[in-house]
Amino acid sequence: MISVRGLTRQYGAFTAVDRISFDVTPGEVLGLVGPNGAGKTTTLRCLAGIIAPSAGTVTIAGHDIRREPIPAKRALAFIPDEPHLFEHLTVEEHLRFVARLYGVRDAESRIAPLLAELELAEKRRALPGALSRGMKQKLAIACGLLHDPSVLILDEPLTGLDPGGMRRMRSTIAARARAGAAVILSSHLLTLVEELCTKLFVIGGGACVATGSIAEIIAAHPDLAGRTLEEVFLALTGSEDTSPSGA
Amino acid sequence: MISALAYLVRTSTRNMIAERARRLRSPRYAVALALGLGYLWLVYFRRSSEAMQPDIAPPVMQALSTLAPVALMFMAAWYWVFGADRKTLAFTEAEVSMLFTAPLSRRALVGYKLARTQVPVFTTSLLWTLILYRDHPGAGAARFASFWLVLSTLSFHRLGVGITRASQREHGIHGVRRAWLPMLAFAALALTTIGALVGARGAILSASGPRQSIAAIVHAVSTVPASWSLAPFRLVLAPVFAPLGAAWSAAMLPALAIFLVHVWWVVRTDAAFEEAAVEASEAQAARLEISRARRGGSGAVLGEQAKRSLPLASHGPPAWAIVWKNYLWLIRTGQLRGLLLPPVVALAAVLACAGRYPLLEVVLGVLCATLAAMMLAFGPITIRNDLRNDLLNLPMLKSLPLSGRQIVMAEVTSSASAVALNQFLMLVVGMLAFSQTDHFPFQRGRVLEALVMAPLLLLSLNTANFTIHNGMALLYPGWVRLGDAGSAGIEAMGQVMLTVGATMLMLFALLVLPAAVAVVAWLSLSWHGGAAIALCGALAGVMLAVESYLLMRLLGGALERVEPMHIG
Repeated sequence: MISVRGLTRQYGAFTAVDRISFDVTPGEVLGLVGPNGAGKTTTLRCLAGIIAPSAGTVTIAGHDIRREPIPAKRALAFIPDEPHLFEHLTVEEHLRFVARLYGVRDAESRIAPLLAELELAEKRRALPGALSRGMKQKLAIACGLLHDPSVLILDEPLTGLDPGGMRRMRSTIAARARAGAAVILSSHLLTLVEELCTKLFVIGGGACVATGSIAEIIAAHPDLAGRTLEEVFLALTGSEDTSPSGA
Repeated sequence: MISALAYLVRTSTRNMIAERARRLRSPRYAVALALGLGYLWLVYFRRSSEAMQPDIAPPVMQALSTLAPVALMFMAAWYWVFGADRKTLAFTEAEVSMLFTAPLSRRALVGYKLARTQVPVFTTSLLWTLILYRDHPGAGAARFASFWLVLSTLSFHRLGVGITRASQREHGIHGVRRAWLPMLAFAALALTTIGALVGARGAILSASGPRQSIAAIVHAVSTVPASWSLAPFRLVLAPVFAPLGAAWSAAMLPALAIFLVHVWWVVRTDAAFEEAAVEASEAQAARLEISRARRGGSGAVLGEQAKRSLPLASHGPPAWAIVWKNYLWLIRTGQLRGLLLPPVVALAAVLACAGRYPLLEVVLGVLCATLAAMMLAFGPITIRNDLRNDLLNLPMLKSLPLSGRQIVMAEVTSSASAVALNQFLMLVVGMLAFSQTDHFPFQRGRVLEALVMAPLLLLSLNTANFTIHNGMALLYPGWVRLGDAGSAGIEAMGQVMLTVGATMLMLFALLVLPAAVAVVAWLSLSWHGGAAIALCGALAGVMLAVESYLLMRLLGGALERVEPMHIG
């Protein structure tokens, strides 16, 4: 469903993403984790067709994102960490806009339940200016889910959500994966990653540091056995505090 | 406490000037400033010595000195009656957060607000003095003092009205008692002047030329009772128009007295205005937030709920969703109303004239045609519901399942169609106005032909024009202001000149081929009579549309290659 081969992205002499490869099959949830500046957002933007790779290929639902961007984008939903909304469209109009773009014929029957599920029904005529940060995030999520994408790319999806919203979002992601969507989830919330992801892709300095399920990663690094995911992450990315006070 | 507020005003002003100076390191701002200054010099400074020659000035100055008090009176009446004064109470978010919670009296806050208004008042006075009296160095100080006094009085008056009306809102019936007398007084002054103008409408409308019309207006407001109602406003403005010397000194005394009364009125106020000030500040903060959000490319804010919408089917060409979105933007920013209102008002005026006031109908016809022509240059500066707005949301735009060409075409169509509609309506109303007079310069059949092909030609012309504007934003985002219109100042003026000049040049280049084809067609067809104008216009329109389409294809490719980091 998602196939990445030798993906490289350079900004002048600086290599933000360096020859990374991975696959995400239907039903899988890949956790993309790494410290700040590791190349996660650049990777996700390449996958969503927002920026072009310097080298390598990205295939979404069988379509190369560079050669066949429109069918590839039609199959995916990219939900960024900062909700990008149009200030002059209401909540409901955002969904109608998306429905037309993605050709969702049964939009009417989908919009109401989606708004109810994300607790936005009462705000359906509100403009983004009248929404809290969390509600804007929910609206961005609703826009992403409306066309029932087979590929979901989520960048810090829980930012700004209240505990109830976080819980619902977790179950929504899990439900979409169970329904056959391929999901990539980038988050600093390692508990979320541990709960939802079937495998991890740890990125550091733009390159792959480790990949596989948590068990596979630990098997490849026996010295990390028995440690928490947070400790494993810190050790793999070189962020572990090795000073005496931190020991 | 006062020293802290003075420090705040001083350092804020200094830092603002330093920031503007630093910005000039960017070529875009430096070139824009140079152009703006060059324009000011050419239009005002170079001509100022001629314009103020005593043998030319008196009639103009006399009319101005009579009409300026009318404008000032209507402005003041508007503040009192309709309350267009809430912005005057706005503080910045930081001021609300730090000053409203600090141990400061209301008078100190009002004093601070007055001090802040002095920065623009001082700058404007200096600019006017430099523009109008550059060649009269001896008159500079006196004229600067005159401008400063008028603008300060006006600024203090606005703030005073703002506080009084805010207090009225906060105190309910007690507040109304406090404000009803000045509201009635200013309404009466305005109605007296309006009555005088309505009474003289026959002389004004049936005058043989614009000069005679203005003379009739001047006469109407110079006679009792209108002249009495304007007396205080004449006193405020007298120093600006009085000849230097004893007459100027005599004019300064009452103007100064009125100013001091305003200072006393505003500074001694202890009316509660904080709640209204916070509301106004929040509204201002929301506007700033929109602007910042656009700059940052994030989702932005408007607040409130949307009352009107447009239908959008969930099936059909997907790019149409972008046109729909952009038209909602036009509706919700009030710009569609701004485009449709002038032709509607002009039409109402033409119908009201009904052939009885030929001078006014000619003026209306010329005005409509001029405004339609001006929209070609200035339409793209104000109507920006296209790529220039959406480029700030580039990540979202690029993740849509549309090709670059589809996006560019939808974006250009959104703004071009709206402006073309405005121009077409203006032309129709203009022709209607002309057709009711004996001055109609064209054959009616030819005009009908021109109107038939006008929609196609106007749409093609605007598509070409907006394609160039959008292309410049896409290819040279560092040189074109993205987002909606709004900034002011010499730099902004220079930026507008740069954009209008460059785009007009490119538009003329695009017009060469269609114009040549139309001329050849005209030479071949004109002697046949019939629908030659419509055919030639349609041919030119189609040629221009083809050129625009090819340009949009190229820009579509550029959009697919551009990345968020290029937009900045």
